[in-house]
Amino acid sequence: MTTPNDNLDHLLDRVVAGRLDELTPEQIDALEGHLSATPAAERRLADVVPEADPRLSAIAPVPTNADWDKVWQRVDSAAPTRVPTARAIGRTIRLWQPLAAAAACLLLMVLWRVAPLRTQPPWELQLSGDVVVHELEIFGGDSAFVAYSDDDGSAVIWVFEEDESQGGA
Amino acid sequence: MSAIVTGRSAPILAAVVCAVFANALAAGDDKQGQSYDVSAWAIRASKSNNEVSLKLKPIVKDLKKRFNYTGFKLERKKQGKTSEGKALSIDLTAGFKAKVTPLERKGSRVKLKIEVTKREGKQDKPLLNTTVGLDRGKFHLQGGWKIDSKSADVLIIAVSAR
Repeated sequence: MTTPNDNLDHLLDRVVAGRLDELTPEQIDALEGHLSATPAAERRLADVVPEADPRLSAIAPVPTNADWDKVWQRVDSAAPTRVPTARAIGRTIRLWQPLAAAAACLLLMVLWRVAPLRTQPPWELQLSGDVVVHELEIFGGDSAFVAYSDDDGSAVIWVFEEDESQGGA
Repeated sequence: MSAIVTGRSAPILAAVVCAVFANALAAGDDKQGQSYDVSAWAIRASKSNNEVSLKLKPIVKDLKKRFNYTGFKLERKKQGKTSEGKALSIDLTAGFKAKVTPLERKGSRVKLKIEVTKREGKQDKPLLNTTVGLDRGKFHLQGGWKIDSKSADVLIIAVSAR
């Protein structure tokens, strides 16, 4: 003669064996009530680990240690040989700041010196007035004279060459 | 000191150093080597024609009034840049050369040393050394040398600096 608990034990055997899909919703409800009311039955399930489906192992085999070693070797070889640290980056930035400032100053200096050249007006051919001859030195047998203009004080220095019979000025 | 140089103060320090350097450079420039633009024109004066170069039109009346010539041709017009006390050598024409040394610039006046030479063989033969004061940017004339033996044309040099 079988008791209701015998049926529940039988259901529990199926759970331990991992055959949960064989249980009907009514049987699951009954089993839950039994486990709640019976600590011994609950302890029986406490350390049970469901077995893995052998089909899953066949589809996706677990990588071996050798496989993992290869993976890590690939990761190492793909990574840059020297990764700049935050400290190195900070040092580079600190170096570039004064260099950039110096370059800006240099540019300003160049512009400062070049700008006046561009603003120079073109040469206009106009004779100077008030010419002052401070020194005059002539060589060989040549002679020279300074002809001043009465109008504006401009002056012409004219040279007579040694073999010249008559001047042009 | 290193603590001062690092961080945010570094660019400021660099800027200050540059400014001091630029200031010193400019001060040195004012003191010993102000920049000068120098111009020298070589004019061929001739009695054999009445041709006057277009660029000489502004002074053609002065040229005709002062010189017993009828034609004035601009042979060469050259300009360069130099600094105070430093000679600028300008090749003119037919071996003539003008060495212009700016000596002084005061207000609207400049003082120039002008040395005229002519190439003879491998040497430059000195012809005339003068020191003249003139208006800045305006021209002073000197000349009288025969340009070549084929004609009676003479060379007139117009020199200016600013």
